[in-house]
Amino acid sequence: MKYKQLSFRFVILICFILAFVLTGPLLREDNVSSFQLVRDSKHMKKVQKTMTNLSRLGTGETAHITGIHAPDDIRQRLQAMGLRTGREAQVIRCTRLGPMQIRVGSVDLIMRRCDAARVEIAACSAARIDVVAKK
Amino acid sequence: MKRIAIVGMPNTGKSTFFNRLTGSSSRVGNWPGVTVELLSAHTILGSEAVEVVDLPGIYDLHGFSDDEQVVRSFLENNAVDQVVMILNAAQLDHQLPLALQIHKLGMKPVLLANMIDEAEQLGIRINAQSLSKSLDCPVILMSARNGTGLKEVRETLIDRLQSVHPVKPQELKAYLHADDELVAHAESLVSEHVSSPSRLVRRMTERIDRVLLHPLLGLPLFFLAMFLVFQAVYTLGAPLQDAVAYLLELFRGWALDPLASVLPATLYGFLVDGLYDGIGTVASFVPVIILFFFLMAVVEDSGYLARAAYLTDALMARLGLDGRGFVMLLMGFGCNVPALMGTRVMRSRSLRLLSMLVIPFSLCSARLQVFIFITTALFTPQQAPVILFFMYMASFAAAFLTALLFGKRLKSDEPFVLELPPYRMPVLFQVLMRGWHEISHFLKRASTFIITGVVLVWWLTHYPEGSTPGGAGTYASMVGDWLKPVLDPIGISSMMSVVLLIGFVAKEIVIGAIVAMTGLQGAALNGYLSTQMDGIQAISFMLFILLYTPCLSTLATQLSESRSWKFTTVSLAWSLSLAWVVSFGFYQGALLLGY
Repeated sequence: MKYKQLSFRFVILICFILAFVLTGPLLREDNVSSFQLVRDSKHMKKVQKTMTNLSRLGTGETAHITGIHAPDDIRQRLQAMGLRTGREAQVIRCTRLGPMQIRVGSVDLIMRRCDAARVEIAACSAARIDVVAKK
Repeated sequence: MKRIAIVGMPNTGKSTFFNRLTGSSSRVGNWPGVTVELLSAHTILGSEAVEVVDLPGIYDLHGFSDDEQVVRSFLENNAVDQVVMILNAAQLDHQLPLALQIHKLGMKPVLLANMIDEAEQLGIRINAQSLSKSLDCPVILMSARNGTGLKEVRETLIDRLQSVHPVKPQELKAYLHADDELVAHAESLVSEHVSSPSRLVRRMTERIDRVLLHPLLGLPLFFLAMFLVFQAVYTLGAPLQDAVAYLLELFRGWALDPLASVLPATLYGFLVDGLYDGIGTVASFVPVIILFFFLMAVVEDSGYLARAAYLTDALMARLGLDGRGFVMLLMGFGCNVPALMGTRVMRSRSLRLLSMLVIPFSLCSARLQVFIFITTALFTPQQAPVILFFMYMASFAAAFLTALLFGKRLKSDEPFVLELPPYRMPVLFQVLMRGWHEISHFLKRASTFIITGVVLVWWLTHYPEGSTPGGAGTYASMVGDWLKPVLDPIGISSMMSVVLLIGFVAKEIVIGAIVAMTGLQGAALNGYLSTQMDGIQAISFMLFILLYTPCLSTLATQLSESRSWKFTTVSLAWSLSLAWVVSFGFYQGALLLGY
């Protein structure tokens, strides 16, 4: 009986390994955005690629939102969450794989990089003042 | 009767306010969209009875999610005398546009700036009087958590209900166009009447997040936290469970046995050995379930669930799900039914369907109860928690595998944007209410499903007359023999297969069924179980229980939420076949390895 219980632990161990083997490949980095943005038109994707967007900001950086490029219903959703033109957005936290944490006004949001790519931004106010001063 | 509707964005403390106002219990979660069913309660305001309805949290009156449609159709179809809108006082800039939308519909809301204590700590000052004048509706600062301002709220509501007439908004869409205008209006209102520091600093939340959302430490800490919760349920729950079992045994010895002994032997066997012991064994799990829900409520109310969504989204995105799906999976650890309903916050149908396909694999409290029972009976106290944890891992693995396989068919384009609320101390009152809510739900199910199930199993295992109870010749063993070709290869004995059949209705019945079948209890029952199966067979049995559909209510919910027979059938067929294949693989694999 004792021996059986001991060998039983090995079975548990095997199962653990199996569970991890199963979840392991999921952690591989691949292109998430390809299936995320299925409804964005070609033109929209082009704009998203060329414009300065929220996903390009690094941790701690701030910028003004100048527009949202997404299908109507998605744009409305993003706006209702506080991502509106003219607001200031700050990146609080971002990692290579996971979503970003963005602060808009008094609200903290978490959003995926591919959704952040829909938000067009302009350089932050401080930088703009510098430009104005130089002129 | 006059009717008050409570609206507001998610995470503003609507449910807490609702509980405060009506004194009844409803679920509160620091998570967008937990209150998905319409909760209503009756209360006395002044001299008249009033019906209070708690509507789901929404961001936008003309949004596209199911919740937003629920609120809209409620307001379109029900006469409401007074709309009460709860706002988070610390986020007025974010929340006033919704208030203006409601105001524009001619509903004259009473605005309650909730969490005023939190806002004051952040250095935000709101001039309620002038804001109220500009908006032409009452604005009251309050805190539903500690009760500040509630007296004023009651007085205002009594006052308003006497003077205001019900509004029936007919053409909502027509009003709801000038969105940008409303935002500009909201911003000017905020800058005029609210003063806040140029940058909000939530020191505590940021400090905690630095550790809990750490890019490398975050996930391990999350799994550690979950492991600790389950460990706590097991170590704290076991003694409580013994205590209840002891009390029930005491009652049987002192009162029930002497009283019932006058009855004929068959009736005595049915009432005491079948019904009382069956229900008693189920009842002894009540403390464990209460404990589990207390701990889940603490995790939920603290704001950690949204962090869990953040941490797991990278993984879930690859499965075609998102972080919210993971949180619903976690909610499913309590009960699959509310978790299935919680998917209403998802707007994209395919994402919803995929989440609903995955949720039934999360190990709910009813299954937990079965596993605790079996692990306690067959394994050492050191092994038991490990096996329990393994079951949770298997539950995740099944969910991930399902998402991976079906994700390609059910693609979604839903944006993943979630609010990250600050950490909050869970309120004891809410946690207790929540535990009570869940346990009363459990007992309600128990009173119908479990009693019927226990009686049925007792009958199956004791008849036809003259057969040995629980042995050969009974109806149960006939059913068992019939199922033998299917269940033999996965190591489940014919008696246990009857239990599985009954467990299809609800897993709460399983233990009661085993007790009723054998007529044994306590140590004797554990001894009997170890003759019925060894460790490997027990795990195979548990894997099967884990994976083949959770219960009839889950199936019914899947059907009502998806409104598709096809989807429900696919889900049932998939879970049944997965259960069999996994159990088969495990059992035969273990046999091959020589255990």
